Amino acid sequence: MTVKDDVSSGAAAALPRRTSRSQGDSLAETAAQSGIGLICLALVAIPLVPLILQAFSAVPLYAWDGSFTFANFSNLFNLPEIPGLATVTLVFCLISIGFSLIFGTVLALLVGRTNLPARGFLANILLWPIFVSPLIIGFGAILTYGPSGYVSALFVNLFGGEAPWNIYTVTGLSLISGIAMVPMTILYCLSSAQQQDPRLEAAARIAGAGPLRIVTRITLPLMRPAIVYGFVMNVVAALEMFAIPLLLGGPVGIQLITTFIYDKGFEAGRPDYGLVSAAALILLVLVSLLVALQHVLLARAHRFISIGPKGGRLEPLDLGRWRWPAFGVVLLYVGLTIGALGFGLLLRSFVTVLSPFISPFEVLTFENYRETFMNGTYARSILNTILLAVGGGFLGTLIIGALAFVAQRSEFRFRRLVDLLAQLPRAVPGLIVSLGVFYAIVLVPGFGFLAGTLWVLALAYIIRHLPAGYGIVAPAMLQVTRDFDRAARIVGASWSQTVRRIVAPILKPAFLSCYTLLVILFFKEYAAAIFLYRPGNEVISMAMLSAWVPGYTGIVASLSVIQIAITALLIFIATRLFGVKLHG
Amino acid sequence: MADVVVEALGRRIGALEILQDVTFRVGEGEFVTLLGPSGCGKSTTLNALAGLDRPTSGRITMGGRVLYDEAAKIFVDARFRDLGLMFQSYALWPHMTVAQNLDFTLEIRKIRGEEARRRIAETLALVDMDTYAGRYPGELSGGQQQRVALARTLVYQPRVLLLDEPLSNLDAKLRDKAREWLRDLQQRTGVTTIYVTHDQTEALSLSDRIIVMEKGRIVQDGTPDDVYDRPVNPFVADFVGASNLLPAELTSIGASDMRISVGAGLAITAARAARRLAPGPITLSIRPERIEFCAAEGTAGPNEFDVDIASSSYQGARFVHAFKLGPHLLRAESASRPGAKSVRVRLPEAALQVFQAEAGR
Repeated sequence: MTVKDDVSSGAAAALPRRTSRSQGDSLAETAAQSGIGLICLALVAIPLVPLILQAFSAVPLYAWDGSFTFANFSNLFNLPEIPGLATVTLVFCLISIGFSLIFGTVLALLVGRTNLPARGFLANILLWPIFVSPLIIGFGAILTYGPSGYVSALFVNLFGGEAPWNIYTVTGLSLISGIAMVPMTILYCLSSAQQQDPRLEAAARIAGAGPLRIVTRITLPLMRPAIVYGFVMNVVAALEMFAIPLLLGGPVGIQLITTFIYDKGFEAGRPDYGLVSAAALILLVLVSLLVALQHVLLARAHRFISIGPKGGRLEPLDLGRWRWPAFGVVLLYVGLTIGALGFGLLLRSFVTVLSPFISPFEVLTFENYRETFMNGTYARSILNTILLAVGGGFLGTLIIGALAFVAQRSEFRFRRLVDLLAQLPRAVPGLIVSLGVFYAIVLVPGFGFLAGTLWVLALAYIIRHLPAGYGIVAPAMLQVTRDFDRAARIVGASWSQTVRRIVAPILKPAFLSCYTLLVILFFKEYAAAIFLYRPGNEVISMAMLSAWVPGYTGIVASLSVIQIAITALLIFIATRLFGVKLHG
Repeated sequence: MADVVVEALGRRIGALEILQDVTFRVGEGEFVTLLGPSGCGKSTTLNALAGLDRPTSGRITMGGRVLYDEAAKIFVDARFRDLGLMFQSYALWPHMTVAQNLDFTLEIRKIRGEEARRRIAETLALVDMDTYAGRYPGELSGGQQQRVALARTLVYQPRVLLLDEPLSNLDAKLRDKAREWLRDLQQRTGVTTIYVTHDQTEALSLSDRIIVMEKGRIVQDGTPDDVYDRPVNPFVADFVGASNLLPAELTSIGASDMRISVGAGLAITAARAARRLAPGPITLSIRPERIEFCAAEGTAGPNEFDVDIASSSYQGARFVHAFKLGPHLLRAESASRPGAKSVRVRLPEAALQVFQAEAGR
């Protein structure tokens, strides 16, 4: 202390007490910021480090001797099923992404930019599947379009013969996955289409361009960043897609890279940890490359940003005589996908048998729901899911907030690294997070006590969705002028006071949005839980999967309806009571 | 090139009358400015001319062609009007280069190949942007974007050019240059131009004619001289070049002059106005730069008053002073700093404008 006083005697002379106090403050600040930075590092390292080590280790990690090998990779590529697996994955990607992009872009344009009847209502319906787990979409598809699904049966009854489709094929499961991916494309394209400067289209109109030319030459090209972004996110989603290939491909032996990892990871007897890790690492690298590619593609995005102040109202494009036909097409799409699937699930949850030939009133029952709520496992899964979503989401929001403050609003030396790390898990598929966390608690000594608890699920979920939440909070924080911080520092506030009393209250809406998003994402998450589930910490998705295997379809349907209903309630609370905007 | 005739144009939204009985004519090759404060209806008028917004009553013809006629239920969409509109924000398509922005308008008119290349090169040369043909709008400065935006509206040779506050996004120095350049360009191309602005300096320096609007109506339509020197009401007097407006009483009207009482026993003589006036409450208007400072020797002559300067502010080229005349606070301008606090001012008869006080104004 005396030495310090001597060194800084010049400055300290005027305000000695003040000087020493602020030194104490900044020491505590650095400690707090370092702690938050370490948490961030740990969150990213937990799933990745054991996975990467395991991929290069000849023996299971718990017996690791420090040696490295490429044997896992050569073993993997020497497996006889690999060429087929790669082909099927590629075909799956092509079909599902093509479906999602084409339908997503066209539907977004129709509901977002034209005078389609009831377009606001249709937009909300089209976006709905985004809140629902792909698992539920898979179940719905089987109940509707499966060999004994009610639409298939209806078709056979009307036209005779056999239903001309089979969803237990690569094409079938790709199309169903495409349906699950369309809302994501719509979401990206919709906000892009609606946030365009209306004067760009007005200028084209004045120059003499008609609606079709405006769409193809102005609106669509301006949406290119959103479409590129949507494309990359679609590839990521397709590579990660797990539930639908599992449900539809599993019974007939069609394997994608995700289901391959899952099968190998759960293989009877001794799972080959090295082989599974090698496959997971390849998936991880593929997804990371795509995420990096998207950054490169969008680097010159200034070509798509309107210049000058925004203003005016975006005039909907007149569809003319195509207005009602287009409405019919959109309605048909909604009816055949969301409508049919939702209806099938809802109806199935209230009957003992689902068939178009038996009046639902004859077989009406509440037995499915009674059993769901009476059975300890199912009831617990509902409770666990709610607990995880509400509590884990809250914990996640706190962590994301702390990370964002350090990354965006501090002088912390490694703040850029924190910013980067927080976005990194975007390139880590849910299944890989699950596997990584599983390895961490099983193979790293001292973490075993977490196995089978809700805490480990919360950990995996937070890691998995860290970038999504950070993606809401960080940009919002960037928009709050740093002058607020400077003003607070000038009047003598410490970093933590500035953050807690000034910046955090201003950012309340962003934190509420982040929390809402995390709750919804946690509620529908299934892939991140798949390797971590034990009796006791089951969540709804896991309960549905285990009820599906012995054929308890009614239970699955009722759990699906419960999951959809609770999600709807959560969204209602968030949008109406807290004023959270979910898109746009 | 074409003339524009607007007859009894009206626009209402619900009970709100945004435009009422707007009637004017713009001759071939003429440069006419719609001038007024924000919310006066000038942009609504421009959007009606462009076909971006449908009025609720009236008629618009351009070069003899009916573009809008409420009675006949005619409304030609913007894309078929063959106009050029330059947006305040320029609205350059950000995903197209400068040349592509121009070319797109020609493509619509099926002008391709050599002819298109020639026109683009000529028009870009006209606005001094020929070396920037391959750039994207995001790579240009504000002034350059403004030139490209103008080039885009000129390249397809529209019959009428509409300009919506095109200079408002430029900084003050650039704006002066752009103004001269715009006027020069319009005279060279001779295109009929309708210009919307709230900036009286732009209006006075650019226009052949100025149409002043207030609250959805046209209040004056005349040359820049008319509007500046002979405003029809206190609003125009104050909006086009600031004026001192003071409530006063018209006491008598003579053969060539009028006697006015401004209160506190002070009387002023003004030249007899051309418009019909009746004795009673009036608004007296005089521009600050027309008030003269004179030597305070002997007794004060007619319209001369000895006053104390309350405050002075230096504005670079001139001084602005505030002084009290009876109960009224007036502003006056002078080129040099006055020597004393007490000065004698003269309000020249010819500089005084008298408006009958309206009920409710």
